[in-house]
Amino acid sequence: MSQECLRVEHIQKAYTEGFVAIKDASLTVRQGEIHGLLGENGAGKSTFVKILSGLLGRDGGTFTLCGVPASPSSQEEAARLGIIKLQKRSGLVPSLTVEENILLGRQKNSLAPLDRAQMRREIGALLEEFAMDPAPQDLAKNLTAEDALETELLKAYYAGAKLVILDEPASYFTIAQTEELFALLRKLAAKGIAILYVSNQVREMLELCENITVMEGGVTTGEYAAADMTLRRLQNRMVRENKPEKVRWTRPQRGETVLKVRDLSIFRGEAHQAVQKVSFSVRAGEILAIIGKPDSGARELCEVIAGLTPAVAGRVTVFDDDITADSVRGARELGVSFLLSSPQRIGVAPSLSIQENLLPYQYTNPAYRNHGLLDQEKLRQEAQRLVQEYDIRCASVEENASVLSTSSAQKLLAAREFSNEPVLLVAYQPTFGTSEETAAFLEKKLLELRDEGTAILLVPTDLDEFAAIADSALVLYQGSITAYLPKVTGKEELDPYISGERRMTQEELEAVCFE
Amino acid sequence: MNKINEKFPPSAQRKLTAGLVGILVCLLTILLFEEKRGESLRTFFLMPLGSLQELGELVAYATPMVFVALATALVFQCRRYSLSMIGSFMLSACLTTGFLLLGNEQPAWYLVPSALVISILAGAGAAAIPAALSIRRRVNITISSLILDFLILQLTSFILSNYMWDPAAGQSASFEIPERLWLPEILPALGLRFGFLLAAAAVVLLYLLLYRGRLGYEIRAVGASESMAGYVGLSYGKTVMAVQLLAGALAGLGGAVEMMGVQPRYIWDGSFPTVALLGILAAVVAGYRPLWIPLSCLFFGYLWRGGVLLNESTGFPVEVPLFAAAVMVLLLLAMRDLDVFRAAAGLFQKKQAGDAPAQGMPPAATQPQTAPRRAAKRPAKAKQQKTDAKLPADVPDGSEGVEEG
Amino acid sequence: MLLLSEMAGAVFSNSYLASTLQIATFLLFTAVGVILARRSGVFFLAADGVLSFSATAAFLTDAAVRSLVLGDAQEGTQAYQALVGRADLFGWITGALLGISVGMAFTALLCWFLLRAKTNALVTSILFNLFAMTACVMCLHLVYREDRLISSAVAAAFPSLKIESAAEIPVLGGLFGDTSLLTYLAVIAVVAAFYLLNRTGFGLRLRAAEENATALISTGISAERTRFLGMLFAGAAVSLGGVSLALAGASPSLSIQPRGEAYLALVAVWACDGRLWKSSIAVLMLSLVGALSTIWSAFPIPASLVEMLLYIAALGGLWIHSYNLKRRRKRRLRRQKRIAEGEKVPQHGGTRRFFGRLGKRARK
Repeated sequence: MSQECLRVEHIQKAYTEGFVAIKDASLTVRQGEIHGLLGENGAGKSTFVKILSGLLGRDGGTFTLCGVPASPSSQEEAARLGIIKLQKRSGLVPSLTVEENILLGRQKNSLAPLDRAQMRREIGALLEEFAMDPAPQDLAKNLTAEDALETELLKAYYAGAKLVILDEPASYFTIAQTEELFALLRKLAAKGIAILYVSNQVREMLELCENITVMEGGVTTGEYAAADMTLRRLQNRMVRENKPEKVRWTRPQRGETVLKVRDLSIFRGEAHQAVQKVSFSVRAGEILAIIGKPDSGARELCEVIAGLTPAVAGRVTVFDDDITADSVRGARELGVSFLLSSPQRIGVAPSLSIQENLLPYQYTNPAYRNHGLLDQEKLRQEAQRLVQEYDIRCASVEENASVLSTSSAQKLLAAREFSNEPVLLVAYQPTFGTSEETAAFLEKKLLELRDEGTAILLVPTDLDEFAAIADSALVLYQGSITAYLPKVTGKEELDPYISGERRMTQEELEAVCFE
Repeated sequence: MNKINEKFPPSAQRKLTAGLVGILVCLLTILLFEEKRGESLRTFFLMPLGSLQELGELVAYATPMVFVALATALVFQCRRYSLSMIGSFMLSACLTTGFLLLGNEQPAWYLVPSALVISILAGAGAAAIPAALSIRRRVNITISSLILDFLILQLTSFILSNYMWDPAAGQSASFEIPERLWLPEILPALGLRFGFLLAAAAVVLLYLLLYRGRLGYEIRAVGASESMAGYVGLSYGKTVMAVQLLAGALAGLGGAVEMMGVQPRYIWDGSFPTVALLGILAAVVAGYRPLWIPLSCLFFGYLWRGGVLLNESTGFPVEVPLFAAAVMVLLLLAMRDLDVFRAAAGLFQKKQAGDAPAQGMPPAATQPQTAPRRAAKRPAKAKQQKTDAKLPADVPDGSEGVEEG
Repeated sequence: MLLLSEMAGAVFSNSYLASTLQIATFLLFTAVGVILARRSGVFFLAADGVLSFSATAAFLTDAAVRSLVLGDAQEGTQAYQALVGRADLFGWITGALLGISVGMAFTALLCWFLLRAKTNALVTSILFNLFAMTACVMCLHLVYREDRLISSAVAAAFPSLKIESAAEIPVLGGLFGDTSLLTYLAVIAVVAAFYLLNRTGFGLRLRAAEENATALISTGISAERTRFLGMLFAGAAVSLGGVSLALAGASPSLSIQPRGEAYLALVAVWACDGRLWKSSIAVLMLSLVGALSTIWSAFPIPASLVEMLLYIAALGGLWIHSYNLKRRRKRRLRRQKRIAEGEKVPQHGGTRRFFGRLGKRARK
């Protein structure tokens, strides 16, 4: 009954340096079906999805869309064909309203005046139909992450998409929000849109998808109907043979209190509080994890402790030295290191050499100078030592940092931040975008650093990392702490705190404020 | 082909191509618009190299340019694209002239060093205003420095026409600075003066500063990525201020060197000095690298000297060299990642195969632009794919036109 | 003393407003172009180059066509009288057309550099401006060797709307008495730009291309193309500015001395955060200062000093803008402190609310 929407067979893709990302991948998605693409990190899912959405070209294989051969060479072309991939970063224009965003690019004559009244009617009806929260006139920048994603889905539907690709959208949503998202996805599928849901979470897949394609090591190993599979069987399908060894957690040796944060308030924009009156402490030799949704304020918190942005009220002290008003330099002089990942990767300058990126502290250190000039030999030796220790893959330390792969760049950042014997390390998603191998390596390094007595404030990249290395945890919901867990246990019991449904009492929360 | 590339890197190929095109532009302009062709060409191309005296004159012309180019290189490596070196140059040239003319009675040993100090202070002062506005108030430094340049332009022409104007000079120009107040001669055979030594010292010092010193590292780090510099805790404001002051001082010194021995009359009434504009272009051609700057300045000095000589003999527009230099630099930008020899060879082979369209290629300027694009397409695409998996560009201006690793 | 009062009196003459309008015309066009470019994600520093190219092209074409039509007819003769009307008409029409097309071609070339070759925007723009400056001066020098200011008789002016009765009104007569059509066109350009940016689908796309290109790409529209189209509009506006720089006013003239006209427009737009109406007002204020140099040219005060006023005003505008920003930031911090302490703070203060509503209405 249902027709094929997309059929790709035997796709291959090799990157320029000879590394084969996709060896043989096939996928069939039918109209009105929610199809899962399941695989571990590094299985080649994202490359495969990039090929499907036109961002990358393919080296071999066939590509048919609704029975017609197609080969989109750019994202625009893919979108015109009806394949829309939702990005991890929001694809909405912040300063436009919801209705303007949905109607973006839909005008035939783009120079004719917009018919606002009709726009409002149409989009209002659409939002009504799907029972969505945001009003047509809400500005996109004020939407929550879930509402923004749902608006994007509606935009794709309104644009007449045939296939919508979602790349790991739910990895940070809690169960309540994923329910809402799944309901919307099912409604869209009922309208005849095919949905490709890419994730490494088996549970989600089983709940949402009708059929699941499993991918591992750049090869799709098979397609299974969700109804026939159990959690265990599916999990077994996606396990890789030479999986890097998981880091082993050890009991922390806690020391004195290093970082004290008291009543900290941070603002995002004019009057929106990103963090409200947050208080906690981190002791030497422990890893305190902060978890929450992407908009929970954890990033702002880290930036303020690092001195990158100013706080509005409250106090941050390191060994009783007040660093609230200090700049980055002041914080660093007290021995605070930080590793803040972001898609833009703010810590690496691509046009400087690897050595220059690796050693900013040594360049400004008189010990590395000779008659007032920089001691090139000493610097090079130091750089080479770090490159070897952290396994940064490069031909020489003189190369520009732009040649580094994402994993190596992250290792470079880590080498820089970990090597100057920090008292306190603020790590925001330290393994963001890296391969599994690198992630395991960095996690191991973090644990080593902890055992040497560094206090670590960690915002984990994903829940696996959280479970692997965190000693205790704070849960942040919309800028305030909802839970403090002296010991880390499973994910499910955290969910009500992450979604803000439950909140610990004041006394329980004050347990984290050591003096 | 690879052998050639090894011995003669693509960046040098591009520069050579651009230089040839620059010469070609001059040649064509003169051929098209000048009646006495042979004589004009001889004047333009051969006379600057004709005698030792002329050669010395050429070097003297290039000397102030080196200062401006160094200032530009410094500022542009830091990626705060201020253009205050023009204003610094003019202001210090004007004030130096005024000072020397007013204090004509005093002995030279007092006047000459004081004039140099004044020029440095004036240059740094002119550069400090946009820098301070940009650091303390986040005012766009490019616009504010440009507006300041125009302000200084009007100010200097006011000073010129009211206090220094020499009615006997014909066009608007100041009185001549007496020869005893010029910088001392160091090589009488060539007519080279002390300014030459200053320029050479500035080149070496700036190289050491940029690539062997802490401040240089900070400058390049701030320039390469402001967010990275902030991330590791380099103080951004101090670095930018230091760069701008240093650049202003250099440009100011250039103004003094120009007045004391090269161009003893202040002549820029209402238009910017060619030497300053050429200096900016020379810095871009040299890829902001201090050690290459003297070479590019000499080349531009050669073209400029030719233009001046031609202008003196036939009245041909003196802007020709500047125009050629601008074309050259734009071409250099357009060719950024191009392997000129390989592209040319590819084009040649294609033509031989007979499938190239028989269109009359417009000469010079457009040829290297359009042709190699086709040939260079594939590597460009490969590069794009590579960067997908790689580090995303950091800042919007994360890559640089003529800068090579 | 007498001089001062006479200078003050000159400000209240008809010619003051007339020359203000003349300056405002090309500044307004340029400012509109800069705003359109800003929305296309380009800091239009190269507007100065576009301006000088289009002005030079318009002026030279106008002069050439006019002298071509006039042929050998001598001034004062019958033949001259018969031909001059047609010559003027052809002159300014071709001048304007060629000025606009040259300006737009130059913009397109710039777009190739910025959007396709992705060279550094500021360096490229600076180089383009240098290139334009020297190219134009060289062209003029080649055409008229050794003539610094090209004489006024050769080019035909853009026609103006003459209202005899209005010209009689004191002070304000300069506004309507004898105003070039280009001035009216400039006002229309502001309105048209507003319509384009805020009332059309293209405006939405342009904003998407500037803020978040993925939003546009996922609808199947190329962000690069959208920005290129936006830049073409911008180039057209600035070219019109160049045409009015060369051809507006009773006796067209072209100075080879750089004045940095486009930079003034850039300052106005930058200091107004790219807001259309605010920038237009700022541009008018700048031209009020700029016109002083025209009306005071007869007085025995140095012309350079009066010219300096214009740049001082521009720098002052930048300073005021930064000062306001700083004050606003301080006020915001105070408010945030109060919110953090748990006070109830009204959404906006009294005057803020008033202006905010005005602004919102203007933006909608």
